[in-house]
Amino acid sequence: MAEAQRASITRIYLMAFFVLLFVTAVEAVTVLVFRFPAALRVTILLICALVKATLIGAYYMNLKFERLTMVFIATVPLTLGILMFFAIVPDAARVLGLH
Amino acid sequence: MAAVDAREQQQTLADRWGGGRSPFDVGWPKLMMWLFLVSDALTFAGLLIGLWVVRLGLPSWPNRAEIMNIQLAAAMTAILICSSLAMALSVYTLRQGLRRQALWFLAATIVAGAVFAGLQGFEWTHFIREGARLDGNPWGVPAFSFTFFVITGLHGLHVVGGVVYLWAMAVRVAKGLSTDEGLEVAGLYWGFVDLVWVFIWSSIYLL
Repeated sequence: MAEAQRASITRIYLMAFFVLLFVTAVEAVTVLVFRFPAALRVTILLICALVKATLIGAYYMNLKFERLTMVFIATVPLTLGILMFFAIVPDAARVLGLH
Repeated sequence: MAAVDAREQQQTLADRWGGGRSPFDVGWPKLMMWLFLVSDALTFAGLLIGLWVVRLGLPSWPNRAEIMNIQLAAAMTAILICSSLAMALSVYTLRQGLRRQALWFLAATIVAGAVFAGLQGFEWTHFIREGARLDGNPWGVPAFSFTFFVITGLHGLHVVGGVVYLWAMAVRVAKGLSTDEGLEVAGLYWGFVDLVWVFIWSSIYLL
């Protein structure tokens, strides 16, 4: 039973590992090989970054196995940080660009 | 009856928040590490937001594919992912009581971290030899090299600090001085180093 559980956890970590490597390869190929329009390239790269961050947080930082309150501690400030990013950057960049 | 309920409720709150026990049912080291990581994440978020504000405010930004070695950075990313896997397995095997295996995985994590730091040093050297400085560079956009050095430098310091931290943990685990929770807390730090790199790799090298 313990052996089966050990194999299962190891398999989960390995699956996360291979998906992370695959997504990293997709990111590199998107930039180095293909000539996508800028909007499509940015969308692909942002989705890849979010997928990787979610996998690392969930499996390698154990958030998937934590109590929900711990998940909130970790994710709420980061969510606010991302909202702040989208709120600040366009306006600040426009103002800087005008100067 | 209501007064008794209120007293019980107050007692429960006092038990949970009075300092005798964590309100989240996790040990204090882990909770404190999470609070540190959240504050550190906001530091990196501030730097990356600064990068994007400056970058979008400028009419042009150097083409990274022509200046930087993206393949090398991709290899560094892969090495960090390998180290995260090794770290997770180290924590898991120590929880199973397999100390020797845990130490091997921890050693692999330390080696991968050291290789990453070495490659970053190599990349910095190459970049500096091409003329990049904090206050200017041959590509005409001083903010480009400034943001590169500051953001990757701070991350590099985290990696070097992490290698030292993991080395100390390896010694403690080998001597039987650390619990599996202690190693798990170190694992959280290392996972964070990998997590931050995801956004640095995207923002500085790819986007």
